Amino acid sequence: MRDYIAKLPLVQCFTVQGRRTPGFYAITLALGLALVLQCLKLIHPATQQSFLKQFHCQTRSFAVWSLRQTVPSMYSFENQVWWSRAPLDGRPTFTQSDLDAGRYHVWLNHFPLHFVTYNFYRDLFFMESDESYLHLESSFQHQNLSSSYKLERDHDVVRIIPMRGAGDE
Amino acid sequence: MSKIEFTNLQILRVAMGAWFFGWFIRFQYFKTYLFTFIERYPITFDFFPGFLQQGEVSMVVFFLPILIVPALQIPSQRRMIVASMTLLVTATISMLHLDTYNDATNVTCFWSAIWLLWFSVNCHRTDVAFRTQARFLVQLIVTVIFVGGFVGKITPAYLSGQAWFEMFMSKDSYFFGSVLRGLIDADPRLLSRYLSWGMIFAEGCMGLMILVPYRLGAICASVLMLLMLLMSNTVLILSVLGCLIGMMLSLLMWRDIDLEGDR
Repeated sequence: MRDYIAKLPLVQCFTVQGRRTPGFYAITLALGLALVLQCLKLIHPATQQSFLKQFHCQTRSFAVWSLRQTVPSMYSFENQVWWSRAPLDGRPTFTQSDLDAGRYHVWLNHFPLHFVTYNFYRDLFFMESDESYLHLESSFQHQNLSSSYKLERDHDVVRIIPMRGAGDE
Repeated sequence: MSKIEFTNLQILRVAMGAWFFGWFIRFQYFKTYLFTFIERYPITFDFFPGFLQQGEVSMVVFFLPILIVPALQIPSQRRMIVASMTLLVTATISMLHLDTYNDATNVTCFWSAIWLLWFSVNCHRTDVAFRTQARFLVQLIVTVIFVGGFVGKITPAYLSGQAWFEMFMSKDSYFFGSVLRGLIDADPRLLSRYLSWGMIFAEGCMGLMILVPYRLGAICASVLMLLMLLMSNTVLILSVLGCLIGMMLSLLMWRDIDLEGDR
């Protein structure tokens, strides 16, 4: 067992004599903080909520959101997206997509708002009516987060406008 | 230049080359995404600063890593430092840009670029301490990245397999699921649960990487990541994992150098 432990880089790098640069300590500290946050996510409701808000771009400031982006949390949580040409009031009940009827439902593995941006159907939001609506839900353990957005066409651009829930951290 | 310094530069070449390969494996996807959809159908969201909403920025940043090709061809410490900084800028802007922020590739490439920069700055060093630190940082990065994915799946939708079913198994395009269903006569929802558990187990193992001796860990982790490639059904996952596999395997080039306690 002692031989095994002695072979671990975790042990070696702090026992082998030699120079440890400030850069080494800075990277170790940053990764250590990220690891602590991830472990807190498992047990601490406020941390869970903050990660959910990160996924919905609801963090109180872009600066805080930017820092949190460095904490790896990909492919996490239960994330569902509902899109409709008709206004959505609360959690929609439809689970089948029907583009002809102007509605779509999908599960995504992370950052559900990317339904609007990171895809090959952006043209969907530029067709027919000038407005469409989006409802996002993410859940993790006992924490849930819902948010609603309006997609509004303004000349040649579609604007994502938070409606309910966004920015209330 | 000593043999170790030469090896250090080769390590950088391999790790940086894997980063580069992973980044551009998305070329086909991004070519259409950037030049058809972002160009023709711009979307804005005031949560992001103006600069990070502009489609032109995401286009330029995607191709920025091309600048590191001379460093890969004729490596020197100075070139490697500049190349690493280029990769770090690329990953950071992509991670924060409206058009690309959600792609997990940016986060793995961000931490890999930080490691590459640190390694480049120190690549003249021949001491054992440097080598143990490089190995430790690679393991810590891999651990932190996979603990994030592991913890995020400890939730009913993943534990029951529902998320896996809805996102993958219910889709005709999920080749791995179709193959499994052809081999095993079982309820797709049950298969989804087992696949979901398999992914959680694999990510949990990867999260324990820091508690495994380097060589064994690097080989096991690379095999596990290739299995993830199979389960995720898209070669694009290599854009997320390529830089990590490259970093881990590149340090095996030190195999001929005695490292105390790890011969």
